[in-house]
Amino acid sequence: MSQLTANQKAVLMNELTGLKRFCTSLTSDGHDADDLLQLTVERVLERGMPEDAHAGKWAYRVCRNLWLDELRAREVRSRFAKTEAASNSDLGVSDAGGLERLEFERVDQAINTLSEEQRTVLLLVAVEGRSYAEVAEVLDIPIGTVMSRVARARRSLAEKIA
Amino acid sequence: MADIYTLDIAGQRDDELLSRLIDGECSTDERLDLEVRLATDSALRARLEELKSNDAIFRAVVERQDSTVNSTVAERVAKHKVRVDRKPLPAYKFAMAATVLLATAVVTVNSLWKSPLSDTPQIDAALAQALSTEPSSAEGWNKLDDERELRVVLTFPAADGQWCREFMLASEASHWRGVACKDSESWVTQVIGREVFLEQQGGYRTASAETSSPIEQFIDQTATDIALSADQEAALIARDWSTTAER
Repeated sequence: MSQLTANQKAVLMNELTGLKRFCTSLTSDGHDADDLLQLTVERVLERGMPEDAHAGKWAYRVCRNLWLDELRAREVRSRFAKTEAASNSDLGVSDAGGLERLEFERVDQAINTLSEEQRTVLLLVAVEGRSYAEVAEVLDIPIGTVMSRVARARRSLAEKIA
Repeated sequence: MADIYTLDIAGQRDDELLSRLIDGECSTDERLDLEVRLATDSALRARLEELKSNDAIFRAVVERQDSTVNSTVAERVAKHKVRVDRKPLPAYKFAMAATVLLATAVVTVNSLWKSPLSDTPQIDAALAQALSTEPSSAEGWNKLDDERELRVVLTFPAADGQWCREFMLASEASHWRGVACKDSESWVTQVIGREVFLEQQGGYRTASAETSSPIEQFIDQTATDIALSADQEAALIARDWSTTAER
């Protein structure tokens, strides 16, 4: 189980960019996203996956679980040392100019005010083109929850962008 | 107050329906109902356009974020040594399934594996050329000449570093299934047997379950990895089979 099949390796390779976006969505931070992606890949390659597992879905689940672990660890750390500074503005966004940049920043801020849960389902559905069933599998939630969460994300975005 | 609450619930329900419509997750009935409503309800149409437009903005923002994958990570995956399994090859399994299904349509199939047979087809220039250039396919036939048609079934790496291809060859007189591997310059038949195909519109379909067994055994003993994907195979053909098969 410690090695991937050739097909799983090819699928994982193709999913890296989408996984990076997923990491960015989870972490809201470019540097954290890089670290999370690296951790995810290391974990997948070291521990492998069942032969019949879809490498893409598997890697997304590993990624999400690692992020949840990290969040718990951060919570514990912050309880003992309340020095954590919030610097969540860096999304690794490429530069844009003038009015376009202002508009971009406004929309970007609107997106960042979505909850992580809403941002993540919207990313997987609207950007990565995943079906609700696939998202349910990746996030380990019922398909009905995916459905309502996507709708709520769109509703929130509409209110914030308007 | 009650009216506002009711309106809000209705709005949420519509947003959920529109959201599912955008994502292609509506049932047929829901979609038809929505299409009727959209044709007559301009506010609902406007809401749909607004949600779609916001999706486009969301995508644009996400795409402008840095999604570059650290080269170290990509290299780590690229260098990962894959697991080599001796499992039935996917495309071959498909061919076998079709074979088994169609076997019921044949009343009698004699044991046709007599290798070598006196009339065993040789790999001539036309067949070699086709083996070098034709992509694998689960259906359809390529005309080799006036008498013969060929279907390449799959391509796989063999333990000796050669590339091998399973193929089906049909002529009016007889039908064959075999495997040929490419040595430095030419294709060499490794195993071949006569097989019965059902003639049907648009070509032949294989009809014997028995005759594929030696081919399956050969591939099982020889292949070092699963069959190539269409893209991998196309790349190999484009390189004129110049890459040695991984072991």
